Amino acid sequence: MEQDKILILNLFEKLSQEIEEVLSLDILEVVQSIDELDNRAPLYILKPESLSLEENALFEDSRILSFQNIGQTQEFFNNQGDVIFNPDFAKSDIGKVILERFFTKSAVVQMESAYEQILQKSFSTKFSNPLTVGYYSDIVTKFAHSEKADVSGLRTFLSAGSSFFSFLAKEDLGWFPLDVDYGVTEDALVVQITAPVSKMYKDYILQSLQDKESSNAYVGLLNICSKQTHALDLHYLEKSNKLLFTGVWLKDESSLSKDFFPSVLINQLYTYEEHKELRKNNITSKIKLSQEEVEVTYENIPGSIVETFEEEGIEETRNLPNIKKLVQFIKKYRENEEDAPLDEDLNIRDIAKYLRKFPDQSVITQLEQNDRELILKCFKSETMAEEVEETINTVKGGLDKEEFLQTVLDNLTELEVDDVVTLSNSDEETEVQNIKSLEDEEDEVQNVKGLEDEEEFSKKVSGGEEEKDDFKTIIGSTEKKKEKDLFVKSLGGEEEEKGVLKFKNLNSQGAPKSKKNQQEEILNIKTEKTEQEDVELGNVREEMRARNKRKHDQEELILSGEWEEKKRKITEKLNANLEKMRNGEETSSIEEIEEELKQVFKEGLGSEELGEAVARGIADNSSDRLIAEKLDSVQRTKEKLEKERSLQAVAMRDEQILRMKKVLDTIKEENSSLKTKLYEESQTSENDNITSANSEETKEFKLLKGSVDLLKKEISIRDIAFDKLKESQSVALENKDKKIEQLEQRINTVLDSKSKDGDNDLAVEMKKVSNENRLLQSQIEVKDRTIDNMNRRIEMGKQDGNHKENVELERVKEQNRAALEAMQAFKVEKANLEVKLRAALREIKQKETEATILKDKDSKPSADHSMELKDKDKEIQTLKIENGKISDQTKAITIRCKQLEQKMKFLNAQVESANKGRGKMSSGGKSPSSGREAKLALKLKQLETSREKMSMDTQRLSSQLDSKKKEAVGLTTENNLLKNKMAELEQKLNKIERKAS
Amino acid sequence: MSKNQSENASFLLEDEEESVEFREPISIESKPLVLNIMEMHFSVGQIFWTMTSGKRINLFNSGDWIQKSYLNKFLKANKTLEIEPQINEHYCSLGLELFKSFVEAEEESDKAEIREGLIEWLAKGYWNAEEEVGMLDLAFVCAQTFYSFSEEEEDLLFESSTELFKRSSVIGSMLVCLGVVVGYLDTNLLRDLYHISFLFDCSLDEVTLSTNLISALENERNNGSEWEEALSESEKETFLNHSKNSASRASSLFSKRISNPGLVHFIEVHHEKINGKGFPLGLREGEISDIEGLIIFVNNRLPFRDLNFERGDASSLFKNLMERGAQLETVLTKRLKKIITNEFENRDSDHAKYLEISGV
Repeated sequence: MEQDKILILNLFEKLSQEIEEVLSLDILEVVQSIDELDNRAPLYILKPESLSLEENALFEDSRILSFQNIGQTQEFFNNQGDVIFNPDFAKSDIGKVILERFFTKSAVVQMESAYEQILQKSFSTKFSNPLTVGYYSDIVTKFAHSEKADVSGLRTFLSAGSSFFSFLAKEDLGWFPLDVDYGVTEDALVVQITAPVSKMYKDYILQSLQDKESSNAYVGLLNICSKQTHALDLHYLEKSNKLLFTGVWLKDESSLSKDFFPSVLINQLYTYEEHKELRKNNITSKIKLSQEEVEVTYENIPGSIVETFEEEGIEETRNLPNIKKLVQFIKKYRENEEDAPLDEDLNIRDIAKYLRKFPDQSVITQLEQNDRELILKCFKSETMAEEVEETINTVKGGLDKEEFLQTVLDNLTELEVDDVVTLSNSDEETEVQNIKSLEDEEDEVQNVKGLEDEEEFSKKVSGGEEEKDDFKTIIGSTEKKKEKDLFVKSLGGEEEEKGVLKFKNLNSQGAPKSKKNQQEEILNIKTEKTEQEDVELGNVREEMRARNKRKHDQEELILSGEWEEKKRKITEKLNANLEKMRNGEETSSIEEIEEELKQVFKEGLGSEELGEAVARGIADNSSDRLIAEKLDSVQRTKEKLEKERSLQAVAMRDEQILRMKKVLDTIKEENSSLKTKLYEESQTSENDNITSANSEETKEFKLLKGSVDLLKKEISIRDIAFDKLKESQSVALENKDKKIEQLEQRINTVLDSKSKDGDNDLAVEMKKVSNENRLLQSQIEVKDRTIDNMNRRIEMGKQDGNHKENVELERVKEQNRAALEAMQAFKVEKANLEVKLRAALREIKQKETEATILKDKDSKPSADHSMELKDKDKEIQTLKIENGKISDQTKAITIRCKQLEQKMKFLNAQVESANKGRGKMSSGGKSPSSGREAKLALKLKQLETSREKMSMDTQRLSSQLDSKKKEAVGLTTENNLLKNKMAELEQKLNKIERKAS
Repeated sequence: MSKNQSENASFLLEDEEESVEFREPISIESKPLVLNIMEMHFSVGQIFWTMTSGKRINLFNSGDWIQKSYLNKFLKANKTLEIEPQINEHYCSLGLELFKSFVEAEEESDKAEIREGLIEWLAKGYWNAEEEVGMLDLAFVCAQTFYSFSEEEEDLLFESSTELFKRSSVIGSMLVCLGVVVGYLDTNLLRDLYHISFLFDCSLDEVTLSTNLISALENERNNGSEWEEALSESEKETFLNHSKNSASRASSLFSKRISNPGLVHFIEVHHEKINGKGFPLGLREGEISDIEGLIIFVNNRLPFRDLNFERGDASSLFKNLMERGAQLETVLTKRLKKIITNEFENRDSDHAKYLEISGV
């Protein structure tokens, strides 16, 4: 439990009672002296400004709070200071809550829960954009005024605060809308602004908190805010990226001592540098850290005022140690260079130029473009160079010590006297000097020979190497065992030298053949090259040789003869150290090992300077090699990860494709099973319709069905389309039928009206219609029969595969014919009805004339009129009955028609599917079946169009019928009128007759 | 002298008259609704094409996004299209007028006044069920007011996820309406919020939105934790990263549509829960702002599937969503519940200015 507590180091002798109260919270543990810390790092340190804190690793990450006035606020905040708190403020409830909230890091966005216990009233408003802040500020201010809070600074606070956020928004560091919560407690007004922000550093706050005149409008905004409130509290919620910005105004201003100013709390905000440190301390793996290491560039974005941080990562490559070396080399070189351009003016070409001067060109060839750029960056920015250094150090710190020592030992065994000499001379300065003087001379040569720049450099290198070879013969040493990159600081051009040495080495040690062969090849090429250059560069090399010889001669004397003995001693010592380390006795760091190494060499060689140089050379080389390896492995891991990721993506896609395929398959299966079901059902219904004679054939057909089903699966998709077509056909037919029915109904009504004035002629016509109906019926029967025949033929055709196409074609033709016939029959029927209508009209006209005659006769008595009327009524009734019969018949006909059509549709479908199936089966002869399909489709289309035409005809006829009906209605009304008049006239007649009598 | 004095006096008088100028309250009334299919973004009912044979072909269902290029094919061929509106036309018309004047209002005080009208309008249908209203009404009114995706953007969004496109139109509408209720009155902000709703899952359908991912979305919505079952490892990763990826995709592809680029960050929270069990950040109630709270709430309340809209299917929608539903306590902050309920239920003149949060 103890560890969960927040540790606070209090260095104030006396704190106010209210603050003590806050500090007595269960979650806090307060200690009064450094000794009491027991080596635990305190999270917070409460400290008076006058007391300076001793350097202590425990305090590195601690935050400092002051309960006294601070003179240099900026300095305080910049150095881990987070809180300046007026002790008087803690007397208020709100002050206590704010202080508690700081210690317990428990800020929440919702103000009503943050100050739950003490808040009396609270409201929320939104600053949706910077343009309308004024309106909402007024709302808050009016509220504050109504609550008798001090509003003098409130509006300024809100406007400066929102300006601060506007600036952040301008730099994409934050954005609107802001949630503004405000409320009152018993003794204070609180306003809390919640602003969404991106990564937030304390630097942004401090820049704006500065109390100085600046042309930068951002500077000072928060300072204004802090001056307008009694306490300003800033709290960053890192996870959800929000900045809580709270201002507090005490109602009783006099309770605060006037000389204390201001109260500012900065919660959970760290400067960029602190943040980096924190990150370092939190991350265990050093390698991981180096990957995350970032570089800061302070930059004022054009048109902006906020100083922002741009994170820029160093991509560490295995070349990092080389880069460091090259940077050092170039620096030294530039120090000796005349008219050297300024660091800031360097460009990538300059870097390339310097790199060409580097003795070991094999290092240069390994560089990539990124590395060159990094070198350039190191010159442009000091921090970048430091960053590189730091990365290397971090990696170095993470090296395995055993491995390190082992490498040192390996290097040592490979070390020869001349190497020692070279090492002791490998002061970069002299090296550069050498190159420079050499260069000067070469320039002359170049003038004479007109050589190119690049060639010039390679010559220089080979020259150095040659010189070494000569040196070797002088000392008379036998063999050299040098690895690649070993002692890169030595003057020799390693590339060739290494090759030569390796060659020897391999010969003596008997390395695997394949490798040897390879290297031999390389060597041959290189020696050739060297020889060529030898010829060209004779005089330059001579000069170099002479120069180096002088130096080496002196040291060679010191070392020769004793070297082997000394080396043996040193090796023994180191071996002993290594043994210790393996046993876990030694736990020193790399630096300590290096130091120890120096000591050993100093003792072993008897010369302090020489010992240190050699030790440094060996250690540097070993660590560089290991670092390179380590970085290389990091790089490889990264590449591997990337590769895995891309593989994963591919796998994901494959998976998705497979899944889609499965889904498709199931859909297909479902389709085909549905098809079969449908087919079976239709088959049974068909069997009901078709005469029993077909039943045997049907059985046979069922046997074949299996094979047909197989075909159907293949054409299921087309079938669906066909089903849709069928559907649309059926709908069209239904519509047509409805229309026919309507027509009939209309005719009936017309006939009804007519029959009132019915006549013998009409009855005759009715009979005619019924006859026609009978005729139609017989026609339908014929059609029935033909359809039955067709059915039979289909069955036959299905059994006899060879004749299927013909049968289907014929059947379709038949169907079309039948359909056309049916349509024609309908047309005839309609024509008849029209005729009837016309007759009815004629009848009406007749009636009219009769009526006029009656009018004329109006004065004459006519006793037989009533008799006539009675007769007519009788006739009408009989006509009505007959009409009813006829309509029944027509209904029956239409039903029959419908049945036929359905049958036709079904047959169509069957033909189509069978045809398609067969088309698939005989896929060898594609064109004929597809041709047939096309024909069928054409036929179907024709059928469709004829149907459409027919429906159009029906529409036309119905509209005609409508008009006729209207006419008929008009006439009937007229007729009625006339009848009435007739009745009146009759009455008058009767009266007249009575009077006459 | 005396002339001058009299002149001065009249001048002063004029000035006084001017200052007493009386501002009439804004009155908004519904106008007869004219439905033009070409101007509609989401269908307010089934749209048919009636063939000469009398057969009706259904082109769009209620609430479907109306693809203009498809529609144009019919119109160019002189086909007559019919629509059977499933909306409450009077209600929609009033809503449209309210939003129109809201968008046009320049003064914040006018906006606050219109907001009152809007809340009243919403309360009638979506809180108190005094009017028969459906999802279609809300989606229609908000789409007509805020929708402004370009054709390319539509294609980008629609190609892969038809179902979510339709859903998003409702989510966006709910977000905008509740945004107004909670007090966000900036038109651009509301328009951005509307468009952002379409982009919540835009990284999921970058290739194609698989049924697996849709069902994972639905499972996550329903019970929060069992979404992973149906997913492969790679899909799990896609799913877990989709909030972040959608945000970055939105800012790269749809930056033209969003006036406040910062708002894109809100996409990242659309699968958070207020109990810390959401993803990717696992935020808690205390870390969620109101706008984020709204996003979390509305995105969680509608199922991830092809929704069927009918006339009058959303009466008291907001009330129901606020008061019941699976996992409600994990998506609705106490504060939002309080503010919204208060706004809908206690209608008095002060609400335009004061959103009470005390006593939550």
